[in-house]
Amino acid sequence: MSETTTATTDVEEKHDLTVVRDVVAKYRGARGSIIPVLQTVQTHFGYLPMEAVELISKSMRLPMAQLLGVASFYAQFRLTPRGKYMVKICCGTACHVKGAQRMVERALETLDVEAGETTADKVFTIERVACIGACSLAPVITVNDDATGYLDVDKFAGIIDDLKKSEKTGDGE
Amino acid sequence: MSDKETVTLKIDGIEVTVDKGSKVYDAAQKAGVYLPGLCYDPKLTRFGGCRMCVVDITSRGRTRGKWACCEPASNGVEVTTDSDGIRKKRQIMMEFLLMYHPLDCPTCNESGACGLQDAAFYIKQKKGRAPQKRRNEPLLIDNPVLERDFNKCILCGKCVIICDEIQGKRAIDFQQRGFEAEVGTELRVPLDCDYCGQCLAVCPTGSFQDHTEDYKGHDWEYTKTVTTCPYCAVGCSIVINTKGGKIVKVSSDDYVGVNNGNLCAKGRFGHEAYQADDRIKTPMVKGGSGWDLACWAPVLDEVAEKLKDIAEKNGPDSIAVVVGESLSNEDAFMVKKAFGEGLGVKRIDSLSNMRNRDLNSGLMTALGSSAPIVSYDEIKKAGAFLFVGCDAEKENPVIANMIRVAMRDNKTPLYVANARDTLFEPHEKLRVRYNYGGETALVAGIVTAVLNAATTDRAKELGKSAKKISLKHAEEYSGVATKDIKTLAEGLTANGAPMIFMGSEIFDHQAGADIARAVADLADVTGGKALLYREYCNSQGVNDMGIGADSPDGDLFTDIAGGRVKALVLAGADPSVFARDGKSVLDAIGKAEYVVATSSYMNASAELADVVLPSCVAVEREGTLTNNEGRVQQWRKAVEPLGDSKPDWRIFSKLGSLLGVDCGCSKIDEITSEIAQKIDGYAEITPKSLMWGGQQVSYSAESVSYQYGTEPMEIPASDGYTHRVLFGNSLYHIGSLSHRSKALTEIENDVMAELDFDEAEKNGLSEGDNIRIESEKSSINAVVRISDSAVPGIVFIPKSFSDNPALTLAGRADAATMVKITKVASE
Ligand code: SF4
Ligand code: SF4
Ligand code: SF4
Ligand code: FES
Ligand code: FES
Repeated sequence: MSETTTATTDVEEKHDLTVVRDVVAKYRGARGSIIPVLQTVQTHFGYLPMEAVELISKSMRLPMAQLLGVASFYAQFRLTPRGKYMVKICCGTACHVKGAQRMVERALETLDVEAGETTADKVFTIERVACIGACSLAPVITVNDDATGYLDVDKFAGIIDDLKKSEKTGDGE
Repeated sequence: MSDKETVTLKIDGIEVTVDKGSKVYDAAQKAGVYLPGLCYDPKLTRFGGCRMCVVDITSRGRTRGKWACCEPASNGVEVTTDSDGIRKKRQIMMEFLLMYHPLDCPTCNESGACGLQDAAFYIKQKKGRAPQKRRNEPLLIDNPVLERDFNKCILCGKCVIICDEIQGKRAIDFQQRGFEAEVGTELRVPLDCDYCGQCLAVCPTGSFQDHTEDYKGHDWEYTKTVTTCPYCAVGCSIVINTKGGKIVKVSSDDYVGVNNGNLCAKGRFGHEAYQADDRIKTPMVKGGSGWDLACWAPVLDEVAEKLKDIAEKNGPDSIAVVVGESLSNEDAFMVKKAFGEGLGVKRIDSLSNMRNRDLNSGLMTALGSSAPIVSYDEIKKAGAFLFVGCDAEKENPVIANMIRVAMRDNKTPLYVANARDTLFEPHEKLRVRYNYGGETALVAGIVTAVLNAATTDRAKELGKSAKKISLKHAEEYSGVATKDIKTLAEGLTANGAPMIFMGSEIFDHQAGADIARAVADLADVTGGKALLYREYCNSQGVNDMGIGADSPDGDLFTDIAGGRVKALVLAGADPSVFARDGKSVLDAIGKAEYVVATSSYMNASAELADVVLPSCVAVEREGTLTNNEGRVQQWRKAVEPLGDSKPDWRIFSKLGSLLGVDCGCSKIDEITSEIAQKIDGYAEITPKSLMWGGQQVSYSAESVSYQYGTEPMEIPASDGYTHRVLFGNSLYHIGSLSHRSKALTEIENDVMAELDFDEAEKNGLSEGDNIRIESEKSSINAVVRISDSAVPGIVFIPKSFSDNPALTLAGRADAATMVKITKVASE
């Protein structure tokens, strides 16, 4: 899946909610439409901006408690903007055994973020995920959906450093 | 009930017959057999899956383990609810629950009334094998009535489901997942909802706690008295919990009364009002330097002498009595007897009557009887619902619960017609907005469309000649498109008899009686029922007791001001708040020669009285009251009267005796029986017949005239006054009692004036702004509530706030009340 990385640079920035209006219009009245609506909105913004959820709530007459209940249940939904690089560290059994936790800790040290958070400069988001089905390559991470395996803490730090550098020199992507 | 199919089965050897469709769980309950289930509630349709209700069911020689809450009861099966095997299964489930549920019983207010405790104890749960894991979340108190302890939640889901299915709010839901999973608001934002406490009532654990109870005792220490809620006209049964003569909390009981355990915030949390500190405890007589405390006997002698004197000098018409609509039938009956028979007073009236006599006493009785009286049971049977000028959720919240349950169970379609957009979830089929003043045109238009389509028997019989208006005019006058009018007509007749609800907006509408006649007409042609919401807990009964029946025409307060009426008795009534144009009302009362008031609390009208007599509140007395559906129910005494206060019927029967009336030996049952003899429709109402669930009045048939004007109401243009007022009630306050409740005033203490979003924005007003609302008559302070449901040019104002009484804005004969709104700086 190729996600558009419309890097949201400013959280306070007002979002253009046309996408939300369109998707709400498409699904109005249909049962079981919460997930596809949230998915569409998340794909567009990279996360679920609160104003967007509020608009969905109002126009589809769905309570906020229900919408955010769904959003917080599924790992796929995020309520905070994601960074340019979404780094998912697999913490499934195989990866765990091969030291995934140490990579999580390293990320915390070098980037000053907890798992599930985005760095202040909005470049990295670090997430712990369950088995991604590549156990033979354990431990595995994905960066914006590209997987890299056979890692150790240093290799992991190297990848992060490279990404940081390319970001500074401006030839990211 | 007889038309229902039933099944018979055996629960632990006890034979029991239940309605088809019931679950084995229901059958066990009926047989009086306890099951330790934690997530089942017969009034909800979905449930979690605690697996604690597992039972063995033997059918055709085979025994299988089943969940009692999922298994339909069927003929001939035998159910075993307990055995070593069953217990073992339950213990395993309980072990899991107790891994996370902290064993905090010593510090839990639910202890003793906790479903989890009962279940664990019943299955003889010993300590589990797995280590405990605590969440250790601090207690969350983010609203005035409900405390949350997330640690104690077992995620049974009942609170989420009742909030959704019955309350229609879904203010809470499952959040997060895994060990973090919790039930609550999104992102733990403070709970902002109806505060009905239905969630609290169904929660089997102490995860929801009643903040008003606040560790005052344990459930097993409480004395429980079932009585009738003294707030609105729904007539819910409430259970008063007392300890040492003090009210601790109100709980609900699913199995008594009309409300199936549902209550609104007023009924459940408004109990602090009853024993509030500022109750009047002693008779008071105005002396030179203020109020002197007095003893009953000499005060009553003095009152009787004074009234006799005035009647002798000026004739009985110089005395008037106003009866509050939160008094019991016996109170009202006694007032009428004492003054009617004792002094020949004819002007014994209620404020609702004085505000809209034609609607209140004329039509209400007629609507009730011609329909014939509309019972809440009809809600279950209705083919469709139509709201006209009615905000069900706020006005009669528990009727809204009943409607929602019918919509859930029968998919009954709901149609809404209003001058503003009242909320009602889940989705109504069609919502139309009429121009204020065009109500009759709209309703008559629907009548026309029904007659045109001639799909109902009655429409065929009447034929098109019964039409009151053409569709073209209906559209023109009401502003509702012909297409929508046709849809309404179709929707109301498609599934059988519809039920039409009118709300208090009709009550304070000058064309109210015509609107009600039009609605009665619509009910007639569709074969449906019409119900006009009454406001106070005994508005109907006070009317039935003949209050207002013999009143002369003419405005009471004008007559007092003009000296024609010299003495005024206020029996539990405060016209300064609940009559229109309160300022002139107070002026008039100030001019009266002699004023006597009975009240539980001081109020602006009583301040002007010569004598104030303390009456007890509902929970301190006995009596009967008649609700919205004409059901007579009882007040039962839960606590002793505070100080020297007495029930009004006793005060007035003493006074009556002093005025020479034979008031019997004044036992309340005797008055109830006298009512049965003398009041139309009450013949069957005897103290005995009221023991269980009350009994409905059977009014004799009176025919309604379906004649009404359909022209849009003329609303005089008024310079500078920009908004028309719709008067109504807030969800949290009605009458004067609710304002004495700490919890309810913490939830809402300001007059929240609802304004349209765009319009408010244009005028620089936003949510929470302080405003001044001014009419030609007076002005009040309010706070802006921006509402998606408001309409430009209309401001909705709840009317029961005594500091800022909205009805003072209205002239007594205004066609519409016009106001202007200015922003005031908040201090
Ligand atoms: S108090 Fe009523 S509206 Fe509020 S969360 Fe509980 S059930 Fe829902
Ligand atoms: S709060 Fe109570 S009712 Fe709600 S899910 Fe938890 S235990 Fe069940
Ligand atoms: S709906 Fe009316 S009668 Fe029922 S609890 Fe609320 S105020 Fe009391
Ligand atoms: S455990 Fe990491 S890929 Fe399976
Ligand atoms: S009560 Fe049957 S599963 Fe919970």
